[in-house]
Amino acid sequence: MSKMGATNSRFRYCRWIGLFITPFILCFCPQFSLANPNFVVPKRVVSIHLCADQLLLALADKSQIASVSHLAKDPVRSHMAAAAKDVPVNYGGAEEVIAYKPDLILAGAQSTRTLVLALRRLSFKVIDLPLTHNFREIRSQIQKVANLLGHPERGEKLVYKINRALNRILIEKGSKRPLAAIYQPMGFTSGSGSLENTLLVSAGFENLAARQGLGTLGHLTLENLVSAQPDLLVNWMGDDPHPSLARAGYKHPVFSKGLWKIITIPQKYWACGSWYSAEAVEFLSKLRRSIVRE
Amino acid sequence: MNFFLSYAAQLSENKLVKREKILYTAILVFLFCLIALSMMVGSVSLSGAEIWRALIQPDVSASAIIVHEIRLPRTILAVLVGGTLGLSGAALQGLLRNPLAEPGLIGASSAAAFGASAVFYFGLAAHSFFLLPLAGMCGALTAVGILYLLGGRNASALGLILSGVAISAFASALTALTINFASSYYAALEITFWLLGSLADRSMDHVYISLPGMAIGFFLILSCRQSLTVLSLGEDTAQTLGVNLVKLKALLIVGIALSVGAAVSVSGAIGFVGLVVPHLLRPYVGYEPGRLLIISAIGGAALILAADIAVRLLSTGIEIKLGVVTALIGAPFFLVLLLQMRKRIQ
Repeated sequence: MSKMGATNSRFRYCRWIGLFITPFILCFCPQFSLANPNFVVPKRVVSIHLCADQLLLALADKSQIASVSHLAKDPVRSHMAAAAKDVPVNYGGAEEVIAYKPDLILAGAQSTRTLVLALRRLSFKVIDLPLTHNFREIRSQIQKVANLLGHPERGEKLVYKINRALNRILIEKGSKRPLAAIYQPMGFTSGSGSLENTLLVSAGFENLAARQGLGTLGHLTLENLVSAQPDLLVNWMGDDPHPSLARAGYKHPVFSKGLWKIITIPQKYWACGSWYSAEAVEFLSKLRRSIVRE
Repeated sequence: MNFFLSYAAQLSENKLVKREKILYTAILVFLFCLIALSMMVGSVSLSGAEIWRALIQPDVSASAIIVHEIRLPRTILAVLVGGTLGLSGAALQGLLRNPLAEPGLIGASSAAAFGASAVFYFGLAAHSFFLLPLAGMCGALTAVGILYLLGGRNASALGLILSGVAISAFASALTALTINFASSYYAALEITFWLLGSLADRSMDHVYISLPGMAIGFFLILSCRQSLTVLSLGEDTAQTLGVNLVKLKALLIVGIALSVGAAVSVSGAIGFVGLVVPHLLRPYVGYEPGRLLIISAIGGAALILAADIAVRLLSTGIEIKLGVVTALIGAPFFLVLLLQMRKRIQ
């Protein structure tokens, strides 16, 4: 385990050296986790969380994947829904997870603690993957999972993808930072510290919720939203296919008054912060440029 | 002697009419004050002048949008929903001749909420928005119908409340079941809306879809005004006095179901209003069920408006549900009422 820690700090160092040097350094780096004499490449990995599913499907060999959570097949929320097509799914019950005889279980911060503790009591190896809120956390989580699965080079590749996408984003110095708001009817928004905030700020927007001092999951009334008049409104529910009061809330006439530009970023780009979240930033930054030009 | 008696009756009648007039004036003035206050209270502070300007001159400024699209529909709905709950509470109490009858307590609201939520989460409301109040009405009609068939008419207060509790619990369980089966991940968070009610972020669309049902319901209930007073003398007496009982009951039940169903389908189930309001006002109208109707509607509107203003003033984060406030007022009131009834029986 201590060697894996070294991988992470080494990697963080690499990130600062820059994109072009990274691959070269990698050539000389031994594959740390594989070099660990205690390390065995897991052969039956089960994921019980949507965000862990994404990484497992992207980084593991198909033969290593025993099961993913049922949400992995949801094309709205799962970026890897296509890859999950033939993979058996679980609903996060202890019995069904055990039935796969996993040698590694990937859980998320939102997996029920009782389940995780029960699995650990039965001496299964359960790795908790916390939610990622920024690209530093995303990079280190990707690398961690890649190492665990015995494919560190695939992790490097995804991290490289992130860096390349983020480097393409040019925010001209002194250019305007349009005001953006994220709004989910019933009044939820994402302020400082949230992944959504990272995406908006990385793309050169100012986040209304952060300006108002709101935290990860803040509350914003419709009146406050209207009076703040942001340039951009990100509809959290835009591609949600199922009826809910939250989705129906966007039918409110204030949204059709043309006060702001309303966009939807497909949920699969940010339901879990991962390598593809950088693509959402790219999209947002293009949008920002068009808003500034107007 | 006879002359004196009739003179005394005349006098007390005059006094009553005068008292009723004062009451009507007072409660209407109160209602208008609340309406004005409701337009002024919100998370964005707007001055009275700004609100007035926005009202007479709708444009796309933020204040005009807040006034027209957010506060106005909310205020109108509070008046309509409150009016419905007060009126149908008074009507139910007259029909069942039981002061504890109330759309919430007898399960009509919960059943309406079940009907509306079922239609909503299974995507039927997307086809026609009017299916939402229709489903609410069907739910309310079923509940009132079942209650009536269970013998609500002659049941003791206890029997009535017990059947109401059963219907209400069953309907709430069905709502929870519906929401569990709903495919949206957000549905589970939204159950509080259906069970406790709220007027947050409602729009004029909600006014339009619920208004027809409420209007027809009001009309049906108010058309029974006189017969309802006669009914308070007992069914046999009412019949000899020429009241068509079958017609009266049908009109009232359908009227209550239509108005409560339409109201609940846009506001969720809000309890206790129909219990508190008629009870407070009854002494002022000479305990006549017929005269209690309109004043209860106005009182209900005032109560819901006041509760909704309180919700807006008290909420800092996510809004408190309206039904929470009415229950905080109504439940202790209900207990006091029960104690009083017990004393009277002893």
